[in-house]
Amino acid sequence: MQRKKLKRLTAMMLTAAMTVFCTGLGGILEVSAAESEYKDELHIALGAEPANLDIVANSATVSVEVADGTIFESLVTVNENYEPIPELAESWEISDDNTVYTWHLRQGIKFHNGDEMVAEDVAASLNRWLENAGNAQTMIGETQFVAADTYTVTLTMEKGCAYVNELMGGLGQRAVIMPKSVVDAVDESGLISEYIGTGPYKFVEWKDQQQIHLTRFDEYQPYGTEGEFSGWGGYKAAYTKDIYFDIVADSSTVTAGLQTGEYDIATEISNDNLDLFEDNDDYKVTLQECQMSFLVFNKQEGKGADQTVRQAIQAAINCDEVMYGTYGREDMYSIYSSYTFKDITDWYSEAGSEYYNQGDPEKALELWKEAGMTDDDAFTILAPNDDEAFYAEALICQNQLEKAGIKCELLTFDWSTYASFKYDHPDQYDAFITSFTPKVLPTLNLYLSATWSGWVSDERILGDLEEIAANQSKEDAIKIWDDLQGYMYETSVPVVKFGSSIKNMVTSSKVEGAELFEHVVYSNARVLK
Amino acid sequence: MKKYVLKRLLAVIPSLFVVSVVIFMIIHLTPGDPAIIMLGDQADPAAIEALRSSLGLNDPLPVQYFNWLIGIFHGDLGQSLYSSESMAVILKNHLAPTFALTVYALIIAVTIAVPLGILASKSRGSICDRIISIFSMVGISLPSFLLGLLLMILLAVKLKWLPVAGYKTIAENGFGPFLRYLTMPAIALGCMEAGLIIRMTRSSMLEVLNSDYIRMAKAKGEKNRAIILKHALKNALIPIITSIGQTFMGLLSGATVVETIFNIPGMGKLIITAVSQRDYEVVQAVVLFVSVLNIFICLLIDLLYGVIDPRVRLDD
Repeated sequence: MQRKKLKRLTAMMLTAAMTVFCTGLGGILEVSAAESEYKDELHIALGAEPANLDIVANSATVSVEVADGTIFESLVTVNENYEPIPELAESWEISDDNTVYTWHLRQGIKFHNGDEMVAEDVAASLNRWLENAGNAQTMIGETQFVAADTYTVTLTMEKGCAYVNELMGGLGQRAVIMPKSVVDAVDESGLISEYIGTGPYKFVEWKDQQQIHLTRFDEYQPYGTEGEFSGWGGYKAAYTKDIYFDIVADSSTVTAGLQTGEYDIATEISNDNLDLFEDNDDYKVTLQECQMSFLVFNKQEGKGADQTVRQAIQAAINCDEVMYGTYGREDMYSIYSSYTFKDITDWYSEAGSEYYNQGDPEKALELWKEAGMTDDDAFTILAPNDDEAFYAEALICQNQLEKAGIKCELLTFDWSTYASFKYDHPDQYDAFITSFTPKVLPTLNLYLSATWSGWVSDERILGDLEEIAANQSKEDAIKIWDDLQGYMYETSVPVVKFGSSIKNMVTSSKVEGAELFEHVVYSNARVLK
Repeated sequence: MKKYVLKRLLAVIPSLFVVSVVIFMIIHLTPGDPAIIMLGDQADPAAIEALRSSLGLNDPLPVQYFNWLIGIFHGDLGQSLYSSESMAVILKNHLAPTFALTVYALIIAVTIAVPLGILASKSRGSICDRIISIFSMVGISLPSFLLGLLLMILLAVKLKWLPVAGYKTIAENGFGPFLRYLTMPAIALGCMEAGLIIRMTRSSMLEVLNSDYIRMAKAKGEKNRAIILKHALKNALIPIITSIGQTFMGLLSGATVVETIFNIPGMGKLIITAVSQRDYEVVQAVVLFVSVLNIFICLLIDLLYGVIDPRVRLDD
């Protein structure tokens, strides 16, 4: 009898154990099946090798694309409307007169070296950022970020500035946070020697001219709500274990690599090759407006310093022709007069639009002669000849000016020479071709700077920009900007805007979660097997 | 022989001095600022100036030259502006892929070219000779980058036999992947070089095959195979070896375009990147290194002449 009971008990226990085991096994199998749907690796074809990943000092897009939001994070970042949102900050307070900012940090955030992020790290990082970001320092003034307590950072300014968060979130020189020890150990060139941040991926290896390897940081603490991501901020799931940036300089190789599946993501595929991917279900093509092209006048010396000459050049330029001739497809550029990107809706302005895209050769020649120029006087445009878009824009401008009867000469060099020539030989050119990424505030546009090449000296422009920076009311500041843009188009003409170019991102159709916002954002990217 | 080698080695010193001055002047007089490249075109001008100063780029050129020269005498080839690795490590890392590619391309070139050159010379004027001549002309005329891209479309994109681009080391990935990644660029370079070597082999062999001693050998009833391989080829080897040596030197300096297309981190890619980034000390070190390499390869070839052909006297 007892043996029978024992047998029954044993059978029940075995059944229970089997049930538990099968349920557990089912769960495990379910998880591993879900996990195994995606690859552990993501390969990105990077068109150029970054000079370094110190994105506080180096604002080059290629460096920012690799390191921003992956290795490094900021106290404040921006959403798709370029509005500041907290990233490493929990919250912030701003005094009524905009002179005192207080940020409360998220607690328990770990750096990739295992240390906890505290206010001292944040203050040291942001003070270094201030040293490197001239634009920010101009607006904020001579002051320092201070660690008020372990998790609070403050900034006190003499004059109020309403846009410190916008500056920290949206400036080209990224206000990213790294350990104080890394900041203190910058080498003689002023660059950091270790890439340690708080982001979802940590730096592993840089194989010279081949590959940059990042791997998932297991102690990363995401913020926000899962599935919600906008601009550069939101929930970062870091689905993929390893991200490889394969440095591939040749565009044909990139195209072939996408076709064979060696690269999962690539950007800036030439418009000629884009057709290969657009009507193909195996690929996804994403487009985003990301660069605004300009002819920037040299207002320090030469013909560009003459306001009437600048008005003449502006009158001659037909922006449709410039953009179509450069990009070859109407969906690869957009034409509108605002100096700020249309996505930055607060600052978008149509003031002075009647002076944009004039393409009026008679008026141009009239103004050219009014400025005292003769047929022998030549207008010199500086452009890099190894950047296809810049070079094409320069050629088309030259053609349009010559058609108007204005003699025009091109001065072209390789990019490295062009970049230094702008600073070193302002006496040898009248204008140069360049482009800019979106700026969260119009005051941050370098072509309005008194110190950057172009050298704005118009007192009205400089005065209004200062007023915008210090203004406590955004509505008032927007009104000043609106008037200023009208004045710049009608009278001062510091630049001639051509239009905005559209950046493309091509991914395999198996790629999910890769976003294009000025550059590719990889924090939620993953590839189906 | 020893005297000859010593004389040649001593002649290296003034050559290297001239090379060092010329390359230093060329790269430093070329406009372009590494500080702007390091910080980006849109960096703060004050930050650019501070970096320029901290890198010593504001020092007078003679001071910069002598600092570099003194470093070289102490075994220090300089420091890259972009990499923390020593120059010796940078050179070693980039020489390995280039050396592997050069050897692989040469094996392909010689394997194709020498037998075809001999065949063409043996059957001069025949259809076979003409086909080989066309092949050699195509090899010479077709740019290696174009052949590379065509191979990429065929072997990687269409057939998916080989990877599009990249480089894998034997140490990290094994011999198979190493070879797979190098095959397409090696074929692209090898076919081009084969064209040259075929023509050199053919003309050199023809000259020898028309000489009296070959006629004598034929008259004595020597077998054709023995005449070609034993008597003719050995005496025709000097121009062929010169051609192979020159090819070797050229490829070792870096097959810039092919390395760029196939993304091979070799010497060609190193120098292109260093020039575009104005990484002065890397450019100087690479050019100096390649010069030394060329001088020694030339010396080696000269010594080989003496070994192959005892009539060549090296003592004079």
